[in-house]
Amino acid sequence: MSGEAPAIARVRGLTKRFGRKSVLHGIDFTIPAGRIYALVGHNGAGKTTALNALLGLTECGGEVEVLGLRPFRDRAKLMRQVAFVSDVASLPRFLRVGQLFDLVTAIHPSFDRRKAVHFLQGTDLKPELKIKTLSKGMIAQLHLALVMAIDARLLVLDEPTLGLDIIYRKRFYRRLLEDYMSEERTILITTHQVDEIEFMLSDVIFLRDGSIILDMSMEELGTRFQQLIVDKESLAAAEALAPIYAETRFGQTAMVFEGRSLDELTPLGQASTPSLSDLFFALMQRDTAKPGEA
Amino acid sequence: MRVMTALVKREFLEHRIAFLYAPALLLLAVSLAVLLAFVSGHAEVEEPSGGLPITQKLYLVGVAANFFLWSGYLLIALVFYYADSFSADRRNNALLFWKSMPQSDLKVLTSKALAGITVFLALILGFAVLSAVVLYPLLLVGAARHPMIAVPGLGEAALVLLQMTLVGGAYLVLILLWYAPMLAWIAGLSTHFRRWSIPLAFLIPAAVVLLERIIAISGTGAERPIGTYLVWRFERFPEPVEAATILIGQTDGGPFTLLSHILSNIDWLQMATGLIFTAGILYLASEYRRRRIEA
Repeated sequence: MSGEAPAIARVRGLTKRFGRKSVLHGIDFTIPAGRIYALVGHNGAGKTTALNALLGLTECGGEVEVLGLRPFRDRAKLMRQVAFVSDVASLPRFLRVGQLFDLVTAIHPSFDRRKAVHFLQGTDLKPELKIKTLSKGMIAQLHLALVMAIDARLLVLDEPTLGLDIIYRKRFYRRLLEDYMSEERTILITTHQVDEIEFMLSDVIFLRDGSIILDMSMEELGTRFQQLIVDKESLAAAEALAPIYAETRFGQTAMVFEGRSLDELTPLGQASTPSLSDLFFALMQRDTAKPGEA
Repeated sequence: MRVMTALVKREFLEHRIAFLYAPALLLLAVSLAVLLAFVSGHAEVEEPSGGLPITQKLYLVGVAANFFLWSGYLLIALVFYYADSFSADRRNNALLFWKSMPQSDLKVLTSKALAGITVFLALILGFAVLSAVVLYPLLLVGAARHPMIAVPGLGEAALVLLQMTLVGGAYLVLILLWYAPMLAWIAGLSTHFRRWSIPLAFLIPAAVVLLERIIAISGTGAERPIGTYLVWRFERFPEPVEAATILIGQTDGGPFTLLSHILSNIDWLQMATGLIFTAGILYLASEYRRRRIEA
């Protein structure tokens, strides 16, 4: 992580309980400016709850500070500089596209209508269309155009492409990178389709059962973890290097290592950097998932 | 102001069926029905024994009755509106979208509360005036067939309409302010119970009053302040018959006499207390909404 950049969000000892069930167990993380973070976890890991805490949508224990504000207390103020897209299709269905833009122009001081209209050029979305008649993909496009037209310092996306086909998903992320991302902006994103966004990420946080098991930049991750497709004759030697995860598929054994050099692994098979989904799966299986504690 | 106007406009867009389309349809249907009845000769008007005492003021009374009917429509529509609007964003899955806007939950709910006494009231007042206008040619048609129906001249009718619009408008505002605590109570309950808030809004006080009665009957000597207060609260505004009596029954009777009667009968301290209660409910509802995320 680039420790020099000022923090956009700082979380210390974040806890959340729903009745007797503890969802977040005192997590800590810091998000600097100008980064693209992914928050990855299994269902029920606490991703959305953590995001909600950052957005001031839920009251939690611990300290949460976003852009110098306390989110739950100052949500309305915070939203001038933060935009978010939730996992549910949430645009008001009774409005037309043009009416939605009129409304947001009036109530959001950081919204630029001209930008939103520009982002919709070349799409089928027209101002007179009713939102309730739009397809899921068109609603996602509209929502993205809307949030990209907000001059926000932090954009939070909670499963923004849920239910969309591959074409819309690719288009969504390409647009985000090309038309929105800049050094002043920070994106925090959760998705189950981590492989699709891996190319654009700068950092990743893995959550397991309400605890952070990995918080690392993609550069560091690439040097810290290795994947090896093991040659049959080298299985014993590879196992001796203490992989954090091993799996045999169609007669081929794949292993994930932490802290091994490529020089050590290359003689034993095909060494590479594991994909995020493979690494996530590997770390989910490990008893002690914190890097360096195995 | 710009933000509040936009939020109130959003309420209009979301609920325009109840306050624009439905009243327009109602007005059109009733006007056509009355007109057809007169034209086809199906409307039989029998002169009551002893003559028709209100002949000269028939239009005035008709306009007043029209305002009473529209105030009833407004109150009923607002009961359903407040039972829905405070939880509508949850129902249509848009809660998180509104929460992504830099506006507090208190401001959003205030805009919903204000929509009832601004834009919706203005719309219904507009329909009341429009139906009063429509009433005039209908009376002319009626008078052509039934000589006992007297219709004022155009100038006099316009004056009556102007006076009754002012009085009717004031009446609608006052009646909404007086019943604001009841509407707020329904709205407050709807933040959690949604449309079940309508029966609950009546069942909860009914249960309390029943309990009060049981305690009183069981001989503890307790008073029934809650039941007495609620009954008193609902009996403050003049009944239509009373209003008609004021309009036609006195030598100096007229729209402004009726308004003066209404104003002199309002307990302003109770009005203020009710509005403070309304503000309290609004605040509590916004705090509840602040903690709600899921639809």
